[in-house]
Amino acid sequence: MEKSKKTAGIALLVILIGLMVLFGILSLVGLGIAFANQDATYIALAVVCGPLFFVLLIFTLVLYIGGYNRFVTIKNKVAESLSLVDVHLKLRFDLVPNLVEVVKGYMKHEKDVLTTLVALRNQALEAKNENQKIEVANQLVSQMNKVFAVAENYPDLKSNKLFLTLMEDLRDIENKIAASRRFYNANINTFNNLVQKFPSSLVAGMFGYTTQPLFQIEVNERVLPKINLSI
Amino acid sequence: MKTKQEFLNYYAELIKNDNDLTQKQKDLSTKTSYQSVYKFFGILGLVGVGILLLISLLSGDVDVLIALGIFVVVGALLFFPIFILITKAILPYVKKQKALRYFEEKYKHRLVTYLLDDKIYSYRHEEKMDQKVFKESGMFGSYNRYYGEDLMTIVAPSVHGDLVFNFSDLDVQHVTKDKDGNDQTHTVFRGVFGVCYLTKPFSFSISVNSRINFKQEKVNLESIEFNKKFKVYTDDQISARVIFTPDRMEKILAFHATNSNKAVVNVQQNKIYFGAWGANLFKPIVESQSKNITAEDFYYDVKMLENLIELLKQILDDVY
Repeated sequence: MEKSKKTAGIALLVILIGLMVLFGILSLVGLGIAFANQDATYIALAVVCGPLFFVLLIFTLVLYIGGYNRFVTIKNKVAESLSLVDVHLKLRFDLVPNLVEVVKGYMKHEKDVLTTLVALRNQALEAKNENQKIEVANQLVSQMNKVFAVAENYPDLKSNKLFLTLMEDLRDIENKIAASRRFYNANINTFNNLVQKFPSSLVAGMFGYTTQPLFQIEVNERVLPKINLSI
Repeated sequence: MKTKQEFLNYYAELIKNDNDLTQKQKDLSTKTSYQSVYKFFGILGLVGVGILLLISLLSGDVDVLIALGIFVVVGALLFFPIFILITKAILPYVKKQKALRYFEEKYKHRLVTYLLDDKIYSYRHEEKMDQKVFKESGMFGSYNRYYGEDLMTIVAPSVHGDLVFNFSDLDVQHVTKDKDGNDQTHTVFRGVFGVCYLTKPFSFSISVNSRINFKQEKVNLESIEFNKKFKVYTDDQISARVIFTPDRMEKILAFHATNSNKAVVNVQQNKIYFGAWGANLFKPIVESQSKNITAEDFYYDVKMLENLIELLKQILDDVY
């Protein structure tokens, strides 16, 4: 399918260039002979072929150069929005040491939970590729939820100001992670629409642009701390 | 806020013994007959013409007769349309304005403070929003006429401290001269304009249906219906999506379904400016045959205000 789109894109470009050359030559010949002989037929030829040449030139430039530039712009926006997701995920990872520091004094018997949390955080920072990042991020989220579930058994911890501030920060980061994923998906949608719609699909085929998958949110991917501000 | 039935009962009790108001309402609903006046002037005109005709016939001067004829025709053509305009349009308009002013002076303040007594900080019918605030919103173009009324301050407690709202009706115009030197009036804004003072500033700018500066880009949200009704612009795409979540968009659409005035909003640091085109706070209750503005309409106007404040509070509570 992609190969046929590429072929169609190139074929159309060749046809447009061919037509431009044809009309260009005809208008020049017509102009030349018209100046020499004052022949009405050649004047008409120049008058018709000249504007057609320019119309085809503008059409080709807009379609191919304009289209290519649009793809570059939206591709860069997609990359930027993906990096924003990473930025907010990192903010979540950065919260972990502060969280451990605050809870460890209270949750003396839950060392295993906290140790695992720290280990996952380190793994997330060292992850080499996207798939690894996502997998470790998911595990980290599950572990954080375990910490909050256990924290329910420690009323003193739940009323600790630092803990409450951390929970607010975490809620804020979770909202931003969700928002940055939506932003990424909005850009991917725009990109995919360009790839699939005519005539930008011809340009997409020529330069090898294909549709990209959206960010799918897993059920357990959100950290959901219970914030009790009445304490 | 009081319930609708409480308000209707209060209003009925308030106007129970007001004969003046009852009479003014009656005057509006009955069509005054001017037939006797038409008859009187008609007969007077005919008698006058008859006398003048007699004088001209006795004098034997044809020119006088012709001049008299022209005078009668021109007089009739001028006099009767003016008379009809006065009786059919100007007098009823004057009556209605009297009834509106009577209501505004005597009841409006009492009804508004009765409905919003637990929230209202101040209400002044004759005052309007400060021009400086209107200019600072950056949502509207230049103007040279600025009218308004019904300035109200409401304080709404929230989780993050008290939110202060100021509202007023505004009619803002830009008057220019055309090439013939005649005045051309362009409406810059007509409706309800308000500002909410926040306890914590936003670090980004966001506006709805009004792009404030070139740094703002359009936000393409997931809801097609929302995107059609509200064009959102911001310099921070992430924060805009934190505010406009799918749930919140549904709430805003539901609110808009019951209050369909076109809205413009601008959030700048610690202020939210908003304008509702075509809205009118506290329309006076005037019950007449031609146009009913009932006590229920009055109640729903105030209810709309309360709903708007609640919606903003919910959004701010979540966002902060």
